[in-house]
Amino acid sequence: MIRHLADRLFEWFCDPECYADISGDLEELYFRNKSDRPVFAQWRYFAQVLILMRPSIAKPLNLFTRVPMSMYRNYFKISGRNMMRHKVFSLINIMGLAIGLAAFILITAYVRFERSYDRISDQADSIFRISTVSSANGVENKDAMAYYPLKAELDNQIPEIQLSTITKYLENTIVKVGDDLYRERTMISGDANFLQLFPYKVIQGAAGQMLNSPNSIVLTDSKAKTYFGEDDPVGQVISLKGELEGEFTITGVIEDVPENTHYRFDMIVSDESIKGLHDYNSWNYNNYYLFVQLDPSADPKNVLSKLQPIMKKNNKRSALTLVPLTRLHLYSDYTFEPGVTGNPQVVGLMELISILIISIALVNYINLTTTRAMTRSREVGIRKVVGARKKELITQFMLEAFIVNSLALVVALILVEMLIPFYNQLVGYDVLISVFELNGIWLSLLVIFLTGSILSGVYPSLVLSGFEPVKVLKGKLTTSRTGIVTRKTLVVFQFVISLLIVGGALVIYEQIRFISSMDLGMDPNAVVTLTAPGIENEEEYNYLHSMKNEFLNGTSVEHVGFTSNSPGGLRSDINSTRAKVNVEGIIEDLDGISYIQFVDGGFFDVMRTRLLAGRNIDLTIASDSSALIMNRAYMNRLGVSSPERLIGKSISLWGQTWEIAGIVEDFNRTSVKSAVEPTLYIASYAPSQMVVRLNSADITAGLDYMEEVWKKFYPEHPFAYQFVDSRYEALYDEDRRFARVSIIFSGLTIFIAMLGLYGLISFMTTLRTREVGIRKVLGASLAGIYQLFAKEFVVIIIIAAVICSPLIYYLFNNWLSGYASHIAFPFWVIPVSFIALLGLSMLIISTQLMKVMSIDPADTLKYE
Amino acid sequence: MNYSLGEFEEIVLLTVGVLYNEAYGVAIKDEIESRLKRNVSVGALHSALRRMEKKGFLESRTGEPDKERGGKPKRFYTITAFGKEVLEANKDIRMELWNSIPEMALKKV
Repeated sequence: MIRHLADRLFEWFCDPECYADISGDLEELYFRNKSDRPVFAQWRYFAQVLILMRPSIAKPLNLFTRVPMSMYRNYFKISGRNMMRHKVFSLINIMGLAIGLAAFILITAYVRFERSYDRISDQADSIFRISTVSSANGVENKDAMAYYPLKAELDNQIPEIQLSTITKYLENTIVKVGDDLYRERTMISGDANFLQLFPYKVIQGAAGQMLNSPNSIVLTDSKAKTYFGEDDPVGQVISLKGELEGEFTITGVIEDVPENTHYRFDMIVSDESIKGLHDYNSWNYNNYYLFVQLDPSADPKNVLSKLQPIMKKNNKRSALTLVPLTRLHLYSDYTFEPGVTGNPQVVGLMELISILIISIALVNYINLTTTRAMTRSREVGIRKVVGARKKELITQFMLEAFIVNSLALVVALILVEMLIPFYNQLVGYDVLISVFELNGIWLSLLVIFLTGSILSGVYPSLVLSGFEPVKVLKGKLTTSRTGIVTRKTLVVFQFVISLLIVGGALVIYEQIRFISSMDLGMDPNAVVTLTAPGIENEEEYNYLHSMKNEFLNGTSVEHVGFTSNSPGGLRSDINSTRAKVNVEGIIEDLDGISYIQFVDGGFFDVMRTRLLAGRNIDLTIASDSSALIMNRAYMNRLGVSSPERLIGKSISLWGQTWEIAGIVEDFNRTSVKSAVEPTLYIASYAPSQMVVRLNSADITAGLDYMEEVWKKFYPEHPFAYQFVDSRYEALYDEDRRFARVSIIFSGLTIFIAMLGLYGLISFMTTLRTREVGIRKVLGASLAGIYQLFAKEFVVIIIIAAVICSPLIYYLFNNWLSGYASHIAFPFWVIPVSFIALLGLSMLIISTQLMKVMSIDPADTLKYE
Repeated sequence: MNYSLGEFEEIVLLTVGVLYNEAYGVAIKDEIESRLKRNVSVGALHSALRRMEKKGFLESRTGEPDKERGGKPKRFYTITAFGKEVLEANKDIRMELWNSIPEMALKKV
């Protein structure tokens, strides 16, 4: 075997003039060695061949004389003529493939984008976020944030940590620049290490020192442009109001944070400036994100085990975890994430769709070229008679396949370039800038290109080159049985994919429609939310409430309420505590997480929630300052089934006691993708957010009136409101985009598949023109002929449906289960997509058949 | 005229002479290996043979196909007149060099 291979290699390599005698020598030596050690002799032979590979023995290298250029010119000419003669075919062929390729490129760009998060640092793979996990009563609670003092402990005790930074998200700040007011929701704090761990490019300012001193602030480029236009921002002073107050000097400008970053911000205040915050350097609050960069050689598992004693030492029961930075966007299941996280299932599905689309396009192409190749049997016959060998025929067909594939690729790239702006808008991110930036996609494109060319070239070239010229030229073309079976299998495969994609798109559409129209347990329409000016004393409280009363005097304002967290916020927009809870006569020392929202009674009126028992909070009653309302989820957590039992009971937490005034039906404060948390709504005089229900008949008038009143009371605060229903909608942006994208691409898939079907059928009907003629002459009815042709495809689609149904169910039921609330698998999508595809196919078959059947048999048969 | 002759080439050329009418690949290889106690690869040997044939030191004829050689023929090499001239020229140069070594130089060793 080895000897044989080596000999082949040598024959290929060696100058034919001396091949015989040298290989004779090799053989002689081999036979001499063989008797002792046969295997060794073979390897010896092989080694000798390798040593023989030297220029003096090689065949002369005549690059140019060996390639028959004129033959290649002829191949090009013939394939060009063939394409021009069958214009529709060529167009279907090239366009189908090009559309498939373009779809593949676009989807892959999206997938690449989703997987490219947080790679700004070269060391991204050794950066981790330290998060906390605690469990109580069997429920695990994963919290993205950590304690401020943890950083110092880690720096001292864990040598594997090269760099660490602690940062806090500061929502709701009012920025005053000159006379202009801005409400900013994207400010973070950062210590001196922040820009070292996340090395954003510094545009202005001293890179290492911008965040070192108190009251310094760094802006991103676009923020600096909004504030100062073309003026130099560095050294300017802006004043902040809100969680953080004071005058801040701009010490630097950095590049805009890229879209593929999970922790996005527009401005960083120095860590030194947030020392006044109540949770600063405290082991009582985990409100900070802590990132560490480990030594690349360190084993995260080791580090993880070293972390736990630190928590124990500080009397914390929760454990610490290391979450890889690059996995945060797609795979995090932590609460209190700084933004909406991605959905790995969506990315997986998109990737699947891209592969399905490209395979459908390839199958199409292969099917069409192979069937069409049959019409060229005469050309092949002539070529063979004139002296073409198998090798030359294969070269010719391969070359043709390469030409068509290259054309398709070029068209695809042009298509992509034209579609980029629309596509970016569709998916909501700039996932692709230009076709020249396809890094990471080129390789897969090359693979597809080669697979496409080789598969579509190999089959016809093998089949056609195997023809016997005499038979072919006599006109006896027998289509092989295996050929037909292969083609039918491919068509079945195509229908399976089409059904899968259509059915899947319908499931996705239904689910997204379901969640965005799901009952939230309250009514977010015609409600706006604003950040109320902070209150520090009774006077300010009374002032705020006189504005509230003036709001209510307007005819178009129905209710006004206050809350610590506006509805429709992110999953992280809530307070929580792990303090033990006691409920009088019900439960003692209940462990686990309680979610807390501070509200006044107006909040429930505005949101139109439903009370199960008891009454609303009324802060005009003095005793209600220590009242709270509990939701059904919390009641369930207490293990109580009748809400009345809890009314009037006292509940204590953090050493304080409240009276349970009412039980409210669960309502979603955020996306229905997460379940409603067990929440206590505690009465409070000064929550920071305001919610206002307007008269839905006249929202604009309501807003105008509110602005007027607001400006009168608080000229120093911007009147910036958001509609609560659009806040909820924003939570589903990602899902909705996904639904839109998947529907568009499923449409494309069907288009490509139908294009293929059209090509196939029109080819088959032209092949059988004479048959139809004869049948007509012999008296066949149109319906009979139609049945004859359609039957084949109906059978194929039925087979496809049988194969596909369990696949759709399995794949998409799985996808649905990723949502906390989801529809039951809609079985109707299977027959619906089946009928839709069947209908389309029948339509195509009919139009093609009509063309053939309308031909006068006399015309088709007169040559016989 | 090109008289250049490498060390290995010279050995091969001389061995071809030694074997006279029986000088083909394996025989030359065996002869060199037994006389010089060194391994000769088929590659090195044939590339030297081909080179010297091209330079005109050797000529070759093809023998009958041989069963022991997988049905392939031997190629027998013989030295040409020019080859002989080159060998002699080489030998002369060496003799001349030998004779020019002062006796003192060799005595010291």
